[in-house]
Amino acid sequence: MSFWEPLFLSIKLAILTTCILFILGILISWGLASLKSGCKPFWEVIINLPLMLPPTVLGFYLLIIFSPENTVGKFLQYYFQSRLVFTFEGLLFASVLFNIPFMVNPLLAGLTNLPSTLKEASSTLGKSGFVTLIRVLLPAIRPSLASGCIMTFAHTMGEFGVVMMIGGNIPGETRVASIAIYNEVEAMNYTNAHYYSAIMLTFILLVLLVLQFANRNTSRGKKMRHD
Amino acid sequence: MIEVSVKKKFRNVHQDFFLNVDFEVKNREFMFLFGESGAGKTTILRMIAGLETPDSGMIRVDSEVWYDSSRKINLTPQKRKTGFVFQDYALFDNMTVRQNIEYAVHGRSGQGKSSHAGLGKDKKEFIASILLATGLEELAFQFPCNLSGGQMQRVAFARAIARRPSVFLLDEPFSSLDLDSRNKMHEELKQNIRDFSLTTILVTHDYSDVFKMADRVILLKKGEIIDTGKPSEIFLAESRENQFVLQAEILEISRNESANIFTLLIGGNVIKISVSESEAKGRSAGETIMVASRTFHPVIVGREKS
Repeated sequence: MSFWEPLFLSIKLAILTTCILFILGILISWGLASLKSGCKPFWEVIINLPLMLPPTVLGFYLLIIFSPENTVGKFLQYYFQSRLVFTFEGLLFASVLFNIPFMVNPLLAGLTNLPSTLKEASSTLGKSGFVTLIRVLLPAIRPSLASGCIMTFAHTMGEFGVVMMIGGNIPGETRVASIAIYNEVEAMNYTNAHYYSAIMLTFILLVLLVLQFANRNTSRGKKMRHD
Repeated sequence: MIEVSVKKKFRNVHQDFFLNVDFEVKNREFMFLFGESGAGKTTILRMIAGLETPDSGMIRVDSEVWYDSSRKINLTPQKRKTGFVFQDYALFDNMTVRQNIEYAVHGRSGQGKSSHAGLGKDKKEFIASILLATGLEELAFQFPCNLSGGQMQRVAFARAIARRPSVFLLDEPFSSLDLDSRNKMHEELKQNIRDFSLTTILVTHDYSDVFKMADRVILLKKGEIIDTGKPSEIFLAESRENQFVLQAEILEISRNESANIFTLLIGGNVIKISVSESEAKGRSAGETIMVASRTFHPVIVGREKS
């Protein structure tokens, strides 16, 4: 196993998770933002569940559900010849599920803070809800989109519990950087653990710094507009 | 011809509010909905645009039914051809002035009436004519965030007009403008409405808006129409007894042997008046009262400094 493999795997997982969640997060937050009260708090709780839940709990349930012994697992195996347990695809699925709040929360906040007249103006101009979303609402919440993506990316890079439960520790398939660190420590190989940890620390720190500066610039830009 | 006859009940913390109005607007008429805030003016406008649904009633524009509770017809805002100018203008910050207008032209889905629908060259000419009419030619490639209040308002007008609306709806469009731009925009709006032969309903609580522009005005109070007619007829009738009624804040009350002296704040001026015992009864400083004067011989002393 090469030294860089787990790091590349982490980045691959993070990029794919962010891409999938970008689309999914927009749809979910759009749906939630246009919900009339009532069941909205319920959905918000469901969305935010992964924030509070120990990653191992989610990992455990996914492991049970997708196990080839169970109905869902059997179904996948039979019709798609694929397994979600201990595979990269399974890892990606779990990762998407686990990162939903990191993408949806910033987007939802962005959408609900927009003046309602933007949406209404677009509808009186004859545009459908979807066209309004793409051409008016999403461009208006660009900072939220950026922070959602970066949060999701950084969080996926660091995820350990869910990966351990559903992905296991298969080199080149599911052994991401956070798992590799654990491995090296277990093998008393502290030098490599140091390298991995330092690279991860620097990388995530950089990502968050970029986010911070990007946000500051956009808010400063907004302030100047109103002057 | 626009026919509106709608009812709606609003539940409120303090008391329920009933909106119950019935009126018509002729083609090319410039109609004003006038009243205090909370009279239901904006709600009526939003109901016509389909942004709010009445409990019952009917809204018909020309021969097209937009809303009819008995026949369960309720067109979506997209299907009603309205040009809505919002109080905050609701311009799209990510688009240039021209793109804001173009957005509305795309949305006309090419149904019948307009010869500009969907045709590249015609569309360009149409947009150019709107930019010209609203004086936005030079600003076409600017973003809304770089515009002044008056310019933003022009964009809002232009965008709404670009939809080729059957009804042009304006919700307090002048409320955030200073006096000078307001006077200018009055003229421009009137001109635009004439140029594009629009049937217009404008919501305001400002007397000068009404007097300068309205063909007819509907006076609303607490969700009901209390009067309708030409502005001069309605508002002069209101002060038929030639009384000028002014709002005054009592700053101080003092007494001497013969009378009560009230120090009042009226329109930025502090004045003292003597008041009879019966009038003074129960009044206290800090209260806002209405005072009336039967004689009034005004002299013009200059222009207001703004």
